[in-house]
This record gives sequence, C-alpha cells and structure tokens, in this order.
Amino acid sequence: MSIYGMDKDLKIIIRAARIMLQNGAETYRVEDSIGYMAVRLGLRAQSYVTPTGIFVMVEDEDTRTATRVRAISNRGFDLSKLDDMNEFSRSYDFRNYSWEETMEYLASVDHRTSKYPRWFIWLCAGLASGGFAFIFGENLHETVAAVLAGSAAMIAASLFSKRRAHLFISSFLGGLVAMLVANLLGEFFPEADVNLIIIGAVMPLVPGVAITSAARDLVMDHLVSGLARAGEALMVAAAIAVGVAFKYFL
Amino acid sequence: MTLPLWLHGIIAFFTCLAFGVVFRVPKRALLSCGIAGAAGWLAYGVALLYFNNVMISSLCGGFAVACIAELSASVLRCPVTVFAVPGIIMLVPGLLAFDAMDAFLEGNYTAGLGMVIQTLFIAGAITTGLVLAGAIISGLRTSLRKKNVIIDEYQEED
Repeated sequence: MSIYGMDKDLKIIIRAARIMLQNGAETYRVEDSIGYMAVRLGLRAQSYVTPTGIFVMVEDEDTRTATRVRAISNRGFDLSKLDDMNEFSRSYDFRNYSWEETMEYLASVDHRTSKYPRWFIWLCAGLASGGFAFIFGENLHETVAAVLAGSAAMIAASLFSKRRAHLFISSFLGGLVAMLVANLLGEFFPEADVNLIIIGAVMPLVPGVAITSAARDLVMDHLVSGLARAGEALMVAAAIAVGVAFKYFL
Repeated sequence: MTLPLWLHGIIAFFTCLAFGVVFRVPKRALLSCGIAGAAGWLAYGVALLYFNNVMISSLCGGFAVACIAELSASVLRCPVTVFAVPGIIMLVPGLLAFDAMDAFLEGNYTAGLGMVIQTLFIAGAITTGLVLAGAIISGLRTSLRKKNVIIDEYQEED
C-alpha cells in the first residue's frame, strides 16, 4: 500500500533521484536508490536512468502504474548532497513525516549552498594546486605560484556555474585564467617552470566525478551512461586544453 | 622523485583533503579522502620504484585508492564516489596530457598522438585498478551478507 498516493510518492522519488544525479552519483546508484525508496513507499519501481534523464515507472499491488520523466541539465558536484540523498533513500522514515514535510526536506537539500564557504573552497582549490605542483616540481617557487593560479582558475570557473552550457564555458575560462595567471607569475618567479604552474592550477578543474562514475557505470553494465560520462570527461578536458592553448597567442 | 617517499605521502594527504573540499565532500568523510589519496600516491610511488612502468604503477595507485574508498564507505556509510573522486585526482596524467597538447599545437602530430594514446592508457589503468578493487571488495561483501532482496525482487518480474 503506497503511503502518500502513487503520484505523490513518484514525485518524491523523482526529486531525490534528480538531486543524486545532479551531484555526481553513478546511474546504477540512482536506480538502486529508486528501488529502495519505492519499496519503502509500498510500491515497485522500474527505472531507466542516464546522465541526462530519469524515467521511472512505479506499480502498486493492483498493477496500477504511474510514470514520470525528468530531463536533467546543469550537472554539478556537491558530494555532500549525494551523501544525504543516499542516506535518505535507504533510511528516511516516510511514515513519520507528511508529504509536505518530505518535499520541504528535499527542497532544502536541493537549494542549500555548501557547508564550506565559497572563499574556503577557492582557497582549498589553490592549496590542492600547490600540493600538486610541489609533488611534481619539488620546488617552492612553483608551489606558491600554483596556489595563486589555482585559486584564480577556480574563481573564474565558478563565475558561470548557473548558465546553460556552463560545463564547457567554465572549464574553458578556468584553463584560460590558469594560463594567464601562470604566465604573469612566471615574470615574478623566473626560475619556476610555467607549464608546471599551469598544470597544477587546472588540476581542481579535472572532471574527477565524470571519470570515476564513467568507470563504475561501465562495469555495472550501464553502458550508455558510462560512455556518456566518458564523453563528458573528454569534453571538459578538451575545454580546459583549449583555454590553456591560448598561451600561443601571448 | 628526489624527495623521500614519506614526504610525498604527507603532501598527497593534504592535497587530497583540499580536493575533497573542492568537491564538497561531507566533513565526516574528509579524513578518509586524504588517506585514500595518500595511499594511492604511495602505492604509485612504490610500484614505480619496483616496476619502473607508469601503467602498472597507475593501476596499483587506483587499486589502493579504491580499497581505502570501499572500506571507508562501509565504515562511514557513505557512497564510494565520495572518497574515490578526490583520491584519484593525484594519479590523473595531467602532465602527459599537457605535453600532448603542446606537441599538437607545435604541429608535432606523431609525438602528440603517441602521448595522447599513453594518456588514455594510463587513464584506463587507473580505472582498471579502481573497478578491480571495487569488484573484489563489493563481491566479498555481498557474498558475506544475505542477498539484496529489494533489487533482486524487482528485476525478476515480467
């Protein structure tokens, strides 16, 4: 017996699945979570999830069905939201909360900004770039320069995070700014290897989520999603490379 | 590498902590991200000393990251992705991809193509290590636990 009525249950399922998918979940994990939520809402579900869309059909014990489709755009990565939704799908107590409360909770997760303040994320992007440059260059000049260039690249990349086609534009801008700042700092640190600074600075922009979930999806037999993610990773890498390639015009 | 391996491990730990914040990892999972990254980088470094082959080393690195990620995932009840994503970033062949792009832009296509293929193979090696560990550990876990009733039930109908 479904808890809130089939249509309302389906709305909860779609919303939670969308938040997971938009924040870096592998598609097999989303399908599993849809199955868990459906069972705990008293339904059975069949779902087909790709990185750009969710299709869910639920069925109750009288074989009545309901279907919902949701197209996904604007994918990002906030792994703490993924963690919350993973927990939600497995252990949220639907019987103790009304439908409105549940939807309110989902909306609060969906719209919340990260627990880390933005300046802290930018700083950490810089530190990550610095650590990377230090490991490969083993030289403090490059490390300091990479910290600055990495922060600048991350700030540039997050400027356009809400627009359409933001993935390409932000990666391109990140690569471009990393290259410009690295060349500028190359003037102040003549001993530093400018190429190493650039590489360190673009490291936080590398599509780590896409690479990881592509591999995991492919192995879990989600072939379409795996290839789509691999395509996303290649596209982002190409966008960064195009931005960096502008150094030949300097 | 001229600096000692332990120093590399420490730097890798803090670098992966920072990557974790960039990917907005939940706070309780941050420490494991750093450990996964350091383990991956140390495994890569040690394997590079023994085999002197970048591909095998990348496979070992990916394997180590995934082992820590799978273990942390079951202890902290977090998705594996949360730990694996910041962990593998250190191993991504960014230097090689950059050199390949440089070669292409200078019109040196043969060298560039070689480097692109090497980059793709290294990326393949990392993901192979990643999924190998994932398959082994999750296989062990499901054979120890009782069958996943929910998933099996809704896939067997029709």
